[in-house]
Amino acid sequence: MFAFNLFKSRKEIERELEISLRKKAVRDLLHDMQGTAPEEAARLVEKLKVYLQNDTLIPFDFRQKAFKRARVLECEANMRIADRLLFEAAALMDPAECYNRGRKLAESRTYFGKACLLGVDDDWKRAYQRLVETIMLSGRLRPANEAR
Amino acid sequence: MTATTELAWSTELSVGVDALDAQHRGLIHLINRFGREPIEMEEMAALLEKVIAYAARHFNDEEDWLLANAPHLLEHQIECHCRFITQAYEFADRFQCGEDVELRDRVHSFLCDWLQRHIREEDQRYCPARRAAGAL
Repeated sequence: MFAFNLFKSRKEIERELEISLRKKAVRDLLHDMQGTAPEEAARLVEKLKVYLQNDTLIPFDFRQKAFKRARVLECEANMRIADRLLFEAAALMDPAECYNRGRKLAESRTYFGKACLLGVDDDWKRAYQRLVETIMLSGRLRPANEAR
Repeated sequence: MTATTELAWSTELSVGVDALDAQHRGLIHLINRFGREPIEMEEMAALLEKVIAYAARHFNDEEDWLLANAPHLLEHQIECHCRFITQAYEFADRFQCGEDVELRDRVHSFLCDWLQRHIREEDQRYCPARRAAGAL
């Protein structure tokens, strides 16, 4: 009467296996992004884009989730280094460290911009800005010849 | 200020560093485009992102110059740059959410005010350092 095909064909099984292998490759790539430097994270995002662009088997949903996750991880990488550099700059209170402090602040600001571009949340942005203001108000650097 | 207001470059806006002046002119051009061209919401969002990206590159160059010539003036400049980036991305987010087209006037007004303040006030702070560095 009714005949349900309970068994998958060899071709279907091979296709599913191939999809799961490709998904695993994407997961591994995302795993590698965790805790990396922003430059490395950006490189891995590019690698992921190329991988997914050349792929025709991975489902759309999975693809979207992978891109979203990659963006979050890249954003976190930028946040981490922006925070670290800002705290390092805040610790350099000695006027003799004027140059290094400025360099760290400028570097940190660059990563802050990248994190904003990648959609960092408003709370972090506000906290970052507050800390920059605090650094500016608490330890303004003066040129050696400026009167106090 | 309305969306029809156009910024114009004049020698009095010069900060005395050719590369930075050229970037300021580039920003004026982009901001005028934003206010002038009748474009869709998505295009507006893309153009705003372009303005922000251009400004970010300009900030990097400006900070590099300050770091090399007047590091004691850098902190205030960085604080101003952070404030602009935060506000500009807030507007960009609102564009992405598909807010009213009237937002364009507010954003254009914000960009015009910011650029004038940036050039006339913030960047004028490093005039003495520029003269000392012989850039004028």
